[in-house]
Amino acid sequence: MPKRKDIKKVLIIGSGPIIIGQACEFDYSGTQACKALREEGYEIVLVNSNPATIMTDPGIADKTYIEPLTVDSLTDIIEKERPDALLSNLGGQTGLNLSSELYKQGVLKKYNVEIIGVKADAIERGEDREVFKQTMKSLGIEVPQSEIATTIEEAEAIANKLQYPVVVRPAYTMGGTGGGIVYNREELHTVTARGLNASMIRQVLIEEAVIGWEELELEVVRDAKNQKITVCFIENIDPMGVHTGDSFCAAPMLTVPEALQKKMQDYSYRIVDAIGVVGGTNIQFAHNPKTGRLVVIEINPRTSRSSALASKATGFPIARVSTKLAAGITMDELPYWRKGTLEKYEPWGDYVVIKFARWAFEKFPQAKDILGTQMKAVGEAMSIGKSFKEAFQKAIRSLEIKRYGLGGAKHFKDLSADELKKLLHAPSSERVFLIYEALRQGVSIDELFDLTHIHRHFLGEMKELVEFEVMIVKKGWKALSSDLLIKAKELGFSDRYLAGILQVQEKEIREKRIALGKIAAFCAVPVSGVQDAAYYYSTYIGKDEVPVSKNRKIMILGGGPNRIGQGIEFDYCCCHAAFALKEEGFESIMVNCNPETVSTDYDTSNKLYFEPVTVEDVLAIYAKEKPEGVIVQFGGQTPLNVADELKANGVHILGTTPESIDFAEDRERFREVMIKLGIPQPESGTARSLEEAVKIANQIGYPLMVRPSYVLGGRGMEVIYDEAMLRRYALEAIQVSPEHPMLIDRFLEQATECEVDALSDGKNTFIGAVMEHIEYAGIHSGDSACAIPPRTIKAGHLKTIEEYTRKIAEELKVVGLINVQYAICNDKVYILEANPRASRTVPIVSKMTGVSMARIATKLMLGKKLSEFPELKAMKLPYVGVKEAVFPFNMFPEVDPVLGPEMRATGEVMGMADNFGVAFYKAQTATGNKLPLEGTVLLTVADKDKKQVVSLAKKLAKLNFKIKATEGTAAVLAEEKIPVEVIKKIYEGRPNIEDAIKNRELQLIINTPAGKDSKYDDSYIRMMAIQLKIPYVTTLAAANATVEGIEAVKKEKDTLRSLQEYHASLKQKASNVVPASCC
Amino acid sequence: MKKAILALEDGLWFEGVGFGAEGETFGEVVFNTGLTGYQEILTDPSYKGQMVAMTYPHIGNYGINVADVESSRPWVEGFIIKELSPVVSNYRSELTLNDYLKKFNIIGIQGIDTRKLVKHLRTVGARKGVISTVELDHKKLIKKAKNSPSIEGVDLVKEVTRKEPYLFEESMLTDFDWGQSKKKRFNIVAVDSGVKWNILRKLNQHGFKVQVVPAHATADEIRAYKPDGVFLSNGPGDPAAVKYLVETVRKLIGKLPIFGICLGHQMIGQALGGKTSKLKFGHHGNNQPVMDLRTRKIEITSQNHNFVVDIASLPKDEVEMTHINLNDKTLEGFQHKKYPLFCVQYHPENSPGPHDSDYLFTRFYELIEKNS
Repeated sequence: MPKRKDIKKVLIIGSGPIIIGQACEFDYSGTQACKALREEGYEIVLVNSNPATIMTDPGIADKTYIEPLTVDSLTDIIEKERPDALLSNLGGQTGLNLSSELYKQGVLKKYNVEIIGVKADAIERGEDREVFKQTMKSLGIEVPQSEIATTIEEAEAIANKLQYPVVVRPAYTMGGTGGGIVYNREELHTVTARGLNASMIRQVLIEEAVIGWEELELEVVRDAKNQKITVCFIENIDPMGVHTGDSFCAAPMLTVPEALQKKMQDYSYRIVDAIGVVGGTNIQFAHNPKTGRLVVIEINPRTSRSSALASKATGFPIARVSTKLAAGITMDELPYWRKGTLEKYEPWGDYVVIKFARWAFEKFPQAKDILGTQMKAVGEAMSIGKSFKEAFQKAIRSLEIKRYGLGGAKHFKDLSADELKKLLHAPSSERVFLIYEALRQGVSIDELFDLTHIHRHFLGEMKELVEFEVMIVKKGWKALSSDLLIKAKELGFSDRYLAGILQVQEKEIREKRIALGKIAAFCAVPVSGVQDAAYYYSTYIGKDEVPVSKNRKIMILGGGPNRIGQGIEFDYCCCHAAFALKEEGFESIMVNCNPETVSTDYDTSNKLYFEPVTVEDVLAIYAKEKPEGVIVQFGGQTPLNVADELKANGVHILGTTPESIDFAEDRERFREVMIKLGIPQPESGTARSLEEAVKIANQIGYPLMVRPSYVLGGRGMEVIYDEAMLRRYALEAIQVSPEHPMLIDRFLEQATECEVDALSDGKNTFIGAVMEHIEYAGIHSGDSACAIPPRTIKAGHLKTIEEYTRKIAEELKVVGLINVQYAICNDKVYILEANPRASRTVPIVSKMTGVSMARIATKLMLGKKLSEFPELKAMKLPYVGVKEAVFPFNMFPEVDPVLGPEMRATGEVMGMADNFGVAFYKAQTATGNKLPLEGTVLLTVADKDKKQVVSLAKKLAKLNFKIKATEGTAAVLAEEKIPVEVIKKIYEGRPNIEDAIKNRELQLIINTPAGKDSKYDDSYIRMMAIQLKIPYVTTLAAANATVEGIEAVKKEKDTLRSLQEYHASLKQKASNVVPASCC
Repeated sequence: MKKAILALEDGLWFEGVGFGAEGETFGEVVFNTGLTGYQEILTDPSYKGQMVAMTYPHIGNYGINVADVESSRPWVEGFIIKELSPVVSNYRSELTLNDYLKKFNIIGIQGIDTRKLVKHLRTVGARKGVISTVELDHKKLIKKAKNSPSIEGVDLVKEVTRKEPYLFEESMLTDFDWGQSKKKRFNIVAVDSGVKWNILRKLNQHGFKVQVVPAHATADEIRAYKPDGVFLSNGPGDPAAVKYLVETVRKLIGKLPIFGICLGHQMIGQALGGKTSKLKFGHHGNNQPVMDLRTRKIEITSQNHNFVVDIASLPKDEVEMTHINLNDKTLEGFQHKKYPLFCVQYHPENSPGPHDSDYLFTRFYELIEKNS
């Protein structure tokens, strides 16, 4: 069927900020959706609150709204834009839920908007647990036994009937938020309470636990003609009990007999017919291998993390195809590389794909490293190889966890078989590494199977690796035959790992195997649904089959798996590098291993190498393609970690040199240069022993900011108030030593922090924007909210900041991007750090100013000068953008959600408006933390904040908020005659704060933490606020902004504008507040 | 672990590691592109006379279990794979692939570059080959392969057909049942030229009582069962060599409703005066696109044949073409314009769900219903 002509304008809802369970795979699917519909001539209106995405780039949709994803804001947008249709299934769970809500509330009917893709009733059939159960029953398909509970009592009755353990699953949530496996009554109570709160409709499902069963997934696609295909069969190697987002997976299925696969396909086809999905659907099964019982666990009638994985694993762009199908096109009209059109698609290939999750437990020391039904991974890596062993080992080195193989992780090698077995009782992020050591200790496959329920086949594969490793280690490097080295490569052992176990340099291994002719060969993954694409992977098994062009080409190194501190922002920059290279007539070659990203989409670059970003893998591609240069400054820390070694091996790095990038990380050299340039820095020192640390601390004076050297995202950073804390930190936390020096800076208290993103061609520098942080210095820049343009920084300081930035860029001979962070303390500007590479804020600055920073930076690296870009003029921004960070605390209920120097945000949102207040309010709304306009505020602040809380309270009172405060805070307010009611802390009797929170008597919580060394732990306030989704603020600076936001929103209604409209309102600016610095 | 060599008649050879039985085996080397289903392939009688190379690198991962087999034993002459799973991991698994092949004296070879082999076969077409664990001189083996008999003109059906008639009562696994309980059960005779059990299970499931007879049963012997219809099964080798069955079919056409699959289709084609010819490398695998010319629907089908009925050789006034292969436009199905008879070249029993080829069994039922 041809595309629909009765619709012209389509609304697409994005998935919002990156959170656990919903990451940049939806930027990937949403971007594909926009492109696919525009190709067909439709006008696109896009809404997403996440400014770091490619999809929100002004060129991707016709109208782009960076607005909160709420029914209210969507209603306004629909009223203004009057789209004909709403595409519901490309924006993750958020997009789907929101579509369903808009339908239920009559908004779509009112404005005559039709849902395309997955209709409202289909969403209900797929997502409402009870309706789903009924549908399955009518199809004769089994689901786990379960019943719905809306209260804890109901839950208990059901659990008694089903018998423990049972699984608690909140309805309408993603990533299993709030759910979990419970083994007893007490756990049931806790988790059910949490689950009810997490569910949009306060409903949980109490379900028979199918722990230990095989978990199998199918990705099927159905079109309006009722044609159905199966894109991919995915086998979760971790059995049921571990969330699929945390599971280690293989595609295609490796240990599942044909008959069972066919049966699941039958079921899946029946299900998508019954639900009526047009587009892709993910269907998850649990199979009891002992009894053969097969049950459907859940379906996702939309693009998902699994669909992104399936797309990358098979070369079938599910999002793109789903979108075309939603527009009425059918599969017989879309091309298929093998034989004409897509309805003939069949999974094919002679390669193995492995997905492995990336966790961030190191960021949340209080969180237990135990995997369950609630997803905890923050990202994932995918790898492709000719065998399971090869792909598996590639996946491990793709993770960027400084492991290049399975053995020798942490101290596991020193543990006894019994100790290892004990650690294997519960699934954890270390499971495969523990298994490897257990195999080395001689633990049998049967024993390991009993502990983990991981298929014996996979355990056997690992055992072969262990045995081979032990054998070659015994032989030693000198005695290692050429045949064994070749065999090692064919088994997928990396050079780096071999170097480690054989105790030689990686280079030696590489040189010897190259001399033996054992170099990586490349093969193609054929791509469906599009005409031409070039998508490759490497293998040490077989022959090279990939042709190389004679074009001028440049290679871009991507950012690897998402993790905290390195996310979608860097992917955004890499994509723009590819776009810029195309514009300049170069062939772009992308190297990355993150299946969720736009950078690994087949049409982002001319050639895509789906490979780990390690020295070995990058050198292999470099040797094959012989590009003119490599871009390393966009992919975050990942490419920078290998840049030096690449350069040492003859790779030409474009733009700012690795030495310059490194130099900025070397605090001592950095300090010397700052002194030379006359740029003030907080006093600092580097300690290589405890004594030295104490000495430096005494020289500088407390409080101090301390950190280990060379870290990303503020790992291990802390504010230290006295010597006792310092000693503890130096000895316990980082074990300071000459090899692991510790950096000590004076901590600037109550300092306004700001940062700058700038472009430089080596001589001249252009300031993209100055961003003012809301939180004071001391909170990691990735975690603090910030405003563009700055709102309180004096013109003189802005001038200084700009001047310093230019000096640094010139000194470091920056060609490309640079980010510099400053603090203003006691009317003086200090530099905190400078990073001559893409920063997290590049996409935000680009979107705020309409200047595509990464694109221009790429062209500068190719040799262009700033003067060649007439668009680089100082702009006056007649509007304000506020970025706010989004945190995964809801997934780690045991973690105290306070902010500090260590970054913990997973994503961000932006609010845009005429003034700061409204923009801030919108940003808060977009994080899901919608601020109240009336009600009761709880004030409980640390002693150091008590003075300033008064003015805040006055404003709140003026805004008609009722104020409750804890004793100390209340006393201060009462003195100022501010009406306040005292509320008890948890240990002071009842009713207390806990009761008030649980009874939902509080609409806003302002609580600045008393600190680690406080006598009383007040973390329960913040933890409960998160559980019950009550807006909470933990710094006074943010509290002031909050009040300003509430005040602004109460005063005026915001005029809704698209990003394109905002950009059109940009006027060239004459004043010198943010002066241009080029030319 | 024993060294083994695979050599083709045209000089290509590989060194690998033997598994299963030891010795020397000859056959035509074909490949299968399915990602799974090795057990079904091994036991498919249509592979008699052939050695099968699997394109997917991991084979044997879930072992062998009796419920998934297609016949009483494996029929391939040799099995060629990239990597044999060291440990088997299915609960239902009763045997490892290695032990299974050993038990039935079938030689396997692993550790060879199957991608290279398949690319070669794709270019040059199916080739005679030999796998040996006893002779390791590749030159000698190449010569042996050259001199080995071709499957052209050889009747392999007689090797695989069951010698005695029997009633087949096993149905599909219950959870495959689509709940279409038919009111009346029709009696049919299924001629076993190397029938896959799944076909018989499907027939049972679709409302037939299935009497199986050997391929050499005569038309009179078949009619003696007083069947409501006749089913002609799949089978191995050169259809032109199975003259006796063509003769039997000729006598049944017009007398009884007939449905044929694969070799059965080729028997009907010849009985109507058509000719068969050998394809360059045959159709093997479960992803062959076929169009139903009347509904214009495309089915992804499972296929396994080296010979086709030539479209031009069929009498146009009697035969209506119903299915065509979209890859190479060869004939995949036809029906008689006058008589209750239809057949397909592919394997409808192996396709998933009611949406693909399952409807053919229903059509057979309806055809008999109309004629009874």
